[in-house]
Amino acid sequence: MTDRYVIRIDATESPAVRVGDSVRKGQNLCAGTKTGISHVSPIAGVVEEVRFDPAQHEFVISVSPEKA
Amino acid sequence: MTKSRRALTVAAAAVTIVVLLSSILSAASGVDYPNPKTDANDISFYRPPARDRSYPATPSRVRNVILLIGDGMGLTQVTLARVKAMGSEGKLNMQLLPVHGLIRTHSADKLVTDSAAAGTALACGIKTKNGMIGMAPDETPHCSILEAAKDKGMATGLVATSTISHATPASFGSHVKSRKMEPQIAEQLIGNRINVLFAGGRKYFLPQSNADSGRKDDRNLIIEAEEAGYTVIETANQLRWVHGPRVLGLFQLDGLTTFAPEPMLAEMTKKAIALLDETATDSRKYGRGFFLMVEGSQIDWACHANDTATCVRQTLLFDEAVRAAVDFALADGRTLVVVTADHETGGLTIPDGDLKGGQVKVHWSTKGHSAAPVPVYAIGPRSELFGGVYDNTEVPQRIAAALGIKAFPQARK
Repeated sequence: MTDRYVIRIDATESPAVRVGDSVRKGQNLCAGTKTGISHVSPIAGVVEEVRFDPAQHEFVISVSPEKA
Repeated sequence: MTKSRRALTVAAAAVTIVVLLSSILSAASGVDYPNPKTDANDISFYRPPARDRSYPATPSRVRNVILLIGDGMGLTQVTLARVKAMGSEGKLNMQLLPVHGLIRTHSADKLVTDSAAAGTALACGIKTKNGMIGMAPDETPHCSILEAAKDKGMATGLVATSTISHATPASFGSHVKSRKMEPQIAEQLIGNRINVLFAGGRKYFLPQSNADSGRKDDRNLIIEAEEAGYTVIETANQLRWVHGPRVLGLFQLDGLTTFAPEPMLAEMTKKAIALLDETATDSRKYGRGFFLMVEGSQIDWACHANDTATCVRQTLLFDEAVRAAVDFALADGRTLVVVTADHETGGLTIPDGDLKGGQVKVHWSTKGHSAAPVPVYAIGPRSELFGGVYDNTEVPQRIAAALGIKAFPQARK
């Protein structure tokens, strides 16, 4: 089982979630209005990390699965 | 004299000798820009302008152009840095330039641009889609103002604090569908024979056999550059002593840290100007002057992190580079200096603050980019072309007009 899902979004966008947020499967992680690409959470879980990666000019969002 | 007083005297003498020696060594090695080692809150490197009036206008023909781009630097980033460095009455070097304008920044497909589309607008004079470098939305490569200047017989250079293959410098010397294609961008920058390249990003020049490589092939662009006549350097000390018509300075594998022992952006700018001016003076091939683009890449990075202290520091590091360019332009009299930004990052505002104490309350409305217009400041011959409110694509068009380049923008043959 995957411990953590990592989603990368272009940093032109702003993430719509913060560390500690609970997210539903399919919930938008960014609005997608600036790049035309929306990103959704692949699982229900908790946002563990929101980090800017300057080399790729992307935000890295990590989501851990909801504990049963 | 008591023992303790004698010890104090000896200690004071030792300190004086150390200070004197370090001053002599510093002068001998040309360290004009002592870079702090780690502290993002340390802005002691910044020297406020000695004047509060605008620099004088300098009417004559344009020989050289220096374009400085603060990535992510909106009007509020400039205001914040100014208030933090000098209080509410101060002015940064860029604000002392006599001509001021504002540009809009949208891309071909979005109201909010990224650095690739904005870099392409500032380099090639055309709108393109977010993510694309040096080409129109239909993927037709377009000539950049750097390439047009080179075709006119000018020496050319790019300086940045990101990787040299990052979106903004890439837009001036390469043509690719995606800003992510940094290995291909690095190839094109060397293939374009740009005289001076100073930044980070050495990993994209190393073959995949090297553990530090960012490439997926066996090309060694360091060796290819040397074979093409480049002197390749990696340290601030090498930067101080290097000479030659082609210099590739890659001071980190990835983007720069902007701390010592790396050279400061202002030092790279000053050296690039000296090298390009020397090449334009000595060489028949590049005898028509020079074009240099300098990017303060990491204002954007600080703003993405909503990091106020680093935003201030990066803006002031950029303003020191502006000072280096303006100092040269004032002495030379034939150099047009244009300072602008590609877009604003962070949606930064200052909702409150203290008029006299330099304390400000800031509000970041986004971690992404915004559609806010960005400033233009200019000095030198034909700088009057850069006043007013206009489109970012007009910046290189106006530079082309100042240089007498008629066919611009144009598709690349």
